[in-house]
Amino acid sequence: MNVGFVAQLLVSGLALGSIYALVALGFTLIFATTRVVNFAQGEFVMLGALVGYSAHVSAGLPLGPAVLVAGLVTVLAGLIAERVAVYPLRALQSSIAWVISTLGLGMMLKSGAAEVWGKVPVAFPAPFGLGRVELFGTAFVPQEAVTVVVAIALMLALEALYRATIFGKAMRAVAYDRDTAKLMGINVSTMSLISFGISAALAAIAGLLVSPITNASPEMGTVLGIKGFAAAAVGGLGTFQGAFLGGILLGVMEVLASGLLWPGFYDVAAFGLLILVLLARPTGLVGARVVVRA
Amino acid sequence: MSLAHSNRVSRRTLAMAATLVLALVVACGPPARSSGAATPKPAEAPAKTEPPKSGPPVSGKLLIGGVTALSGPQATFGEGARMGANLAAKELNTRGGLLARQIEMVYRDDEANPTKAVQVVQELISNQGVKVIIGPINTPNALAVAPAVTEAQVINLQITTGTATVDPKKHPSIFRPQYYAAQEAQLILDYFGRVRGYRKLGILADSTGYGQGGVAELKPRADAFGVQIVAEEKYNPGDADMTGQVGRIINSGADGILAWGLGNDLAQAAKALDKLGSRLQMIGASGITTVGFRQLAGEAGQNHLGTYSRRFSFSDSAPADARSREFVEKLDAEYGPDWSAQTVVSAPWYEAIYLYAEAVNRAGSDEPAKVQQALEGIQGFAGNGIYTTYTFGPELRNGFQQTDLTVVYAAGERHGLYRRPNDAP
Repeated sequence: MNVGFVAQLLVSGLALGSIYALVALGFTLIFATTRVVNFAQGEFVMLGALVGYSAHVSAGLPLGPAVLVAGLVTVLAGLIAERVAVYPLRALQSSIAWVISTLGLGMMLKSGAAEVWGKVPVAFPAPFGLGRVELFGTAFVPQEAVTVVVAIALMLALEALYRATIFGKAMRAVAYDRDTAKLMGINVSTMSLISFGISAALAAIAGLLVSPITNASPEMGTVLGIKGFAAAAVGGLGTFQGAFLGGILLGVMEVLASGLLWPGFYDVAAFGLLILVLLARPTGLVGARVVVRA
Repeated sequence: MSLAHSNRVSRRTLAMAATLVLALVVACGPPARSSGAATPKPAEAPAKTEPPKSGPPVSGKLLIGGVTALSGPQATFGEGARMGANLAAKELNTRGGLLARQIEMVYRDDEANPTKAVQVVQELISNQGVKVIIGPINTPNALAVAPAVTEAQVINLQITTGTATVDPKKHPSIFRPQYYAAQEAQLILDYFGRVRGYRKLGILADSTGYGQGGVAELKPRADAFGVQIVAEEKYNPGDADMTGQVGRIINSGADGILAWGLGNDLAQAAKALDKLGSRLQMIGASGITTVGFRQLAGEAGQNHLGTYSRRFSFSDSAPADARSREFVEKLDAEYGPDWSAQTVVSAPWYEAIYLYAEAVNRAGSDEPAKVQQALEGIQGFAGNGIYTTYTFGPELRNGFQQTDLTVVYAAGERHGLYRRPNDAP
């Protein structure tokens, strides 16, 4: 086995995994507060990317303002989604309604975007370049390196928010027992709204970082959503370190499998390993104990 | 707080918010659509090119159905198809039409979806009463509509490349005035195997029917060109990273890559090759020679090759065929110089209308049974000379000549013409 090739696969897997990690962070943030899995998360990533494309490429805004526009639009969509598709349903007895409503929301966003932007993938210019960089015999493009760095930074920031701030404490309280948290004077409704807002912002960042690598299209959210959710689940759905590690593991496994195992078999290999991880550690890699209440 | 109350509130919020989301989605849209060169404006072209409505409709108009994707990811192809067919219909109409009737094109959008294709074909046959349908472009759609056109005994000129779509026994009224996968496989193996002398080749194909159909044409032919397939890699359309697949092909010691997939995915493969510092060349079926590849691969796509119509190709020493350049000028005159559709789609649709007109004139009727017989009798019909010399027969439904297909630089387009390598066969 060629050591250089394996090193190259690891580097590419790290880059791909940090994309999944970024999406997984958004899943985790919402779940950590509301115990809801937002199945429209991938579509928020797509929305951020395409709005960013419209603002930056079509309308010709500089990158900074375009990123701001993409972030604001996606956050607004996230807030509306929470008020429309999630929060009202949580007042009902059914604990499953949000599954359908977030899935449905995702489909609406996808077909809406296909109407608006068309289904043809568009090339998003790479602010950090797509030129080849070589380091210790492995190659990557600057955009990939930036994605890895941003994923790590956001993971650390969210960990800090969750552990060291009063907001984080409130998040944990709401997640642990909503009714008691409410009695303690925590505004549960606002907490849920804020989680969706931040999560949508994370999605927009992910979309803007990913689309120079993968191109932007209404379809991009589907696979990213599934892989991001898988990464979050492997990470334990409760901690940001877990989401990050889950993403990296999935990305590295995929690229290793496609490079070293049978061709076309990489999804089987990657997801097979994820199932093994979950069987061995049902609470996820990082092992935060999660109690899901009906 | 009572449950009933909270429900009422949430319903009102829901209505408001839904409106907001819709407004938002609509508001963000138009600028993106108007700017992307890959997304042409399907709505604008037909208005200009609708045949004049003031013809002498003594015996009514002669309707020609057109079925292709007019929206969605393949709308660029549909746009090119419509440009070509409309131009032909307009030219024929100014010369008095067909059987002294004005031609009217009736298009239906199949959204590149086989189910939808069957629906619109049935609608064209039973509601519009068309006796001929041009299209579809997609192989699965062509397969799906075959029973319907066969049962209704309507002439169908399919512009697809899938090998299995035409069959004189099962579907006698379906003809293909278009090159197809077997011819493409032959050509790209010939170029890498015989011309370049490559002995070891890797295959990179998407996991859909298109890519795997191509693999099925490539593998059995490799031996005949002295080529050994040393790697066979698959990817799913939309895969974000192809380092693994591409890396394996590089490691297999291949001299080149036979690629069978769509342009936007193969652009990712080109980027992966570039990232790994490999100069391995890909040669693809026509799926790579698209606007999507050129735009999404950027610099990384410059070196790669694909199949294209010979008449719309040029080399450093020889310009493109004069009649094809004339055709490009006609497109310019008709649609303005900014059209971005593909000549490899416009040309066969343009010539398909002329081919049909030729058969109708020979038959003296547009009755499908007579037109079918006339089509079967067509030998060496060159039309306007911009695509191929059609030859059909009672047992022959593929009318395109292998020699009219060539190898070009997949990203080497210059206004509808593609640059071919100097040693292209």
